[in-house]
Amino acid sequence: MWLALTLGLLATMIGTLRAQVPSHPSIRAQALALEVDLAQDPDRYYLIVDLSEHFIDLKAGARRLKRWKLLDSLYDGAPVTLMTFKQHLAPSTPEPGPSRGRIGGRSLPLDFKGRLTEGPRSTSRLYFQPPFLIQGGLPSRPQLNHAVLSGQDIRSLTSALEPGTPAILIPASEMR
Amino acid sequence: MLSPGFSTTADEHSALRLRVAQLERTLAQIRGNAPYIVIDTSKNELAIWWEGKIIRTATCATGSGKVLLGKGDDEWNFLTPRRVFRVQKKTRNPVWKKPVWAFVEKNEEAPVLPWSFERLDPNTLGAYALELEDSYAIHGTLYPLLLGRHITHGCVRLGDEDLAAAFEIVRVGTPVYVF
Repeated sequence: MWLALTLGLLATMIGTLRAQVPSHPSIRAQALALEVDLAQDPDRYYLIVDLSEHFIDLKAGARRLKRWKLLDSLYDGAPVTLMTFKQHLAPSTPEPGPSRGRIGGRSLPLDFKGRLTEGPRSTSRLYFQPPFLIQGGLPSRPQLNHAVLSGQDIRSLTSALEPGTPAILIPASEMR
Repeated sequence: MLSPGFSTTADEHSALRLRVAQLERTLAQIRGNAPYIVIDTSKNELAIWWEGKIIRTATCATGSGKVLLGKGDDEWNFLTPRRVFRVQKKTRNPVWKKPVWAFVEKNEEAPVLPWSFERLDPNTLGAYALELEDSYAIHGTLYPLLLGRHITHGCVRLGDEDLAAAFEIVRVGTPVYVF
């Protein structure tokens, strides 16, 4: 039991240290420059997916509208990336539109390569291009670049997005 | 550990910090300090932001998402849309001018004349209304127990105290971000 408690404490300390790692100024400058461009349109929603500080911000016109805490993430792609939201798959999320039929008002469940998939059975998934996945709970293929939110937060984030919504991805800094 | 891409000299580092500060100032200018309202329809939460901080949060009620079919091609979708509104008008003791769907929903004939007395309802909207674009509004409710639910025809309902506070704080032109 003591071993479990010690390990838990260590994990918390490491998590705290990770959360305090600031972005390198060059990463921060790139991200801010992209944001200045997006913020010019005051009516356009956009996301800041900050893997370094472990949060996702919804913003418009440089104003923060909402912040969600990331539970986990994995990313080994390019440094600061401008992504575009493609679609979400959420079988249990009610959507407007004719309710008759299996698909209802949802878009077809297509994966990153455009293949028709059955879709998630229990959690919502948000697909971005270049390929990045945000979902509630761990992805079924953990090698995918992804970020994880709680189930309630993913519902909230989903309601903020429509296809084409831009997102700035800030990778975790390797500076110590 | 320093990754290869991040090896910068002290001068470059200093220049980068200046650049970051400059970009942050630009964003602060774009953002401004005026109050704004954020409505999270998935959680039925309303927040009033001012000078970078949330100064008030409230439980609200938003659109049910139901679809009402009328005669012919008439169709109404009771959804609070994801978009940016701006407060067009602040009204004390608002009178609701009932639209056609309010009669169709009750299986009643809508009055022919748009200014008919039967359309006017001085009780439903509460003490204040913040009128937005396209006939949407933030207003009061006769049913405070239903706050927190997806129950409205698209407007946003607030409890009496929260509505009074919002009415005091916001100005005509204040943005209302709905998602």
